[in-house]
Amino acid sequence: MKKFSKIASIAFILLLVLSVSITAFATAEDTPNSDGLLVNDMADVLTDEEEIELEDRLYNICEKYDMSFAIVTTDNTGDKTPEQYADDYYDYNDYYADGGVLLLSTDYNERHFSTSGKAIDAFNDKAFEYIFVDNVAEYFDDGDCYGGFSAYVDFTEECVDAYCKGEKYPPVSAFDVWKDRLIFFGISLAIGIVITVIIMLSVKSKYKNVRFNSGAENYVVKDSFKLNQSYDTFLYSTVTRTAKPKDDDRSSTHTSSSGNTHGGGSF
Amino acid sequence: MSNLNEYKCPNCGGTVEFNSGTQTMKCEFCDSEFSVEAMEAENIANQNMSDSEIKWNDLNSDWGDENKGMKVYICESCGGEIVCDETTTATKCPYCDSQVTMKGGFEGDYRPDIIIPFQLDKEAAKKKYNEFVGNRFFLPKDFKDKNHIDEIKGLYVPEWLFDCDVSASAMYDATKVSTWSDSNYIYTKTSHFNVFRSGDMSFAAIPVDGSSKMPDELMESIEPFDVSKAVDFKAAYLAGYLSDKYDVGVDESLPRANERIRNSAVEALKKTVTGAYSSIVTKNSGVNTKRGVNRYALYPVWLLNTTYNGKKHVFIMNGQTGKMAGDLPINKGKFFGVGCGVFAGITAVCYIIAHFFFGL
Repeated sequence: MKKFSKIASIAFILLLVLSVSITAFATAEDTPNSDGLLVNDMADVLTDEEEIELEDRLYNICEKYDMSFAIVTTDNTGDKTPEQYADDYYDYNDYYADGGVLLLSTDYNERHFSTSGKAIDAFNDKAFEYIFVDNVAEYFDDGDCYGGFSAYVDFTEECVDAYCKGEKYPPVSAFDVWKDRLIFFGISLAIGIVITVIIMLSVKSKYKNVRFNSGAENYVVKDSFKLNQSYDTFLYSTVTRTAKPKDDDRSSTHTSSSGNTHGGGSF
Repeated sequence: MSNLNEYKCPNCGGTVEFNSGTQTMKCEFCDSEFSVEAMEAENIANQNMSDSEIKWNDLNSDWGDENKGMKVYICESCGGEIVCDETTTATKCPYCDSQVTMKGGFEGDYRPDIIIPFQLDKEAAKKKYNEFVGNRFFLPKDFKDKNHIDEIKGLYVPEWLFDCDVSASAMYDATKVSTWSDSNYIYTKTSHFNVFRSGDMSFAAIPVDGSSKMPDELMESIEPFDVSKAVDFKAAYLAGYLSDKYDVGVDESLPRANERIRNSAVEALKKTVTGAYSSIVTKNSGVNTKRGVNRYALYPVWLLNTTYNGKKHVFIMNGQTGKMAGDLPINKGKFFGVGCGVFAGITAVCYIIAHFFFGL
């Protein structure tokens, strides 16, 4: 009886381990293993030389900043959207906790950049728009995949470097700085004029106090006021909405199937 | 019989004037004091004993249009001619400085119902003026240094006083504003309300200037007068002061009183509109007056004239409360300079705040 119980226990543990393994395999099975590679060109849009060159540059970033940035291309994301595919690709490969992957999905004809860890803050909404929407997208739109990935690597290094130094990214241009200064100077001037006029008119009124009285409050007979009728009737209401000013440092996030938080977006 | 009225001291025959400090009639020569009532009785007795056969010349009849509205009286003390306009009811002889009142000035409709006697004398007026001018920063230096009063006149100003009961109603547009936000938008909800109020109130002794010579805004600037301290009119109170009778009738004065009543009534009703409204705007209003009564009164004021850079500056003081009003000259250069300094300072502070908060 005791022997049977021991066998049953071992069988139960084996069954449990097997079921967990099958579940893990089922989740990761659609997400190819990169074998530690930072460039995985499954859609074959890059030449071997280009892959090696990009791999070297991404490896240097990885070494320098302890953050993994990868490239993956595929013509079959299975039943996953590009966002799910990119998130899982980063989660189920052996990358640093901080970093991101740029996915080119030829079946969806879409690019998606997924960030994780500190890279979510580094690639905030403004940085994402500047790097991918304003600069990288045009290469892919022109069919120049290598150019797009190369630009991605360059901008990624700039962005991560600025983040590690605590600087704003994208850098604010001198024109924008002066434009903002002029706007604030104009607002300061306007506030200065309004407050000065109020103060000086108030001072002037102390020198010139000859004026008509608007009413006759001093001549109301004490306790003579009696309110006879009083009603307030609601008529209608209006609702207006104004867009909130964008927070420059805001990062949009979502949660992947693994439960990890990711940033980034499609472009 | 003379058409002038002079109050003579029963003791020495000197001129007697109303003293604001003691509220009695006082002889400036022998310092004797008499009550207003006693002096009035004495004056009436003297008039009854005077020779009624003697006719005094009314010299204004042949003066033509150029001097229309002017009158000439003969001073009983020195025989000098006193020229003044026809609204004058009390003045001073330019030759002997005697205080005189014109008898015809208070007959019929021109007899005031009440008078507020002076409570403050000429010295108090000077003191108040000096306090008013003070050591103000923007006052031109030479105005302060050469500050001297050209003339101080104690004057009784004719005023119409209006008493009435008022029924008023008013409609207001009121709004309540609330705001909230989500991650992308700020929402503002504005609720509009129709607010109605009606009520009754009473007004007593709203004054309206009855003299065209006295600017209305000057008289309103030194309000209020305490009409509870008013007494029945006696000409003796005018002794020592100047006085005019009204030349702006009650009908002409009524619109100004109505305007003030309307403004006050609507404002009083508006104060009852509570309920955390963000804005309250008067849409329309109606004011009905009942049991309107008017009285004719004389109010005491001190007028102080001074000249600066060829421009006459008039200051006025409430002869009852001492409230002073007037337009003081301003050193324009200094005023502009300080204004520029304030402007530069505020602008700099705003910009520095922006620099710290927004990193510009």
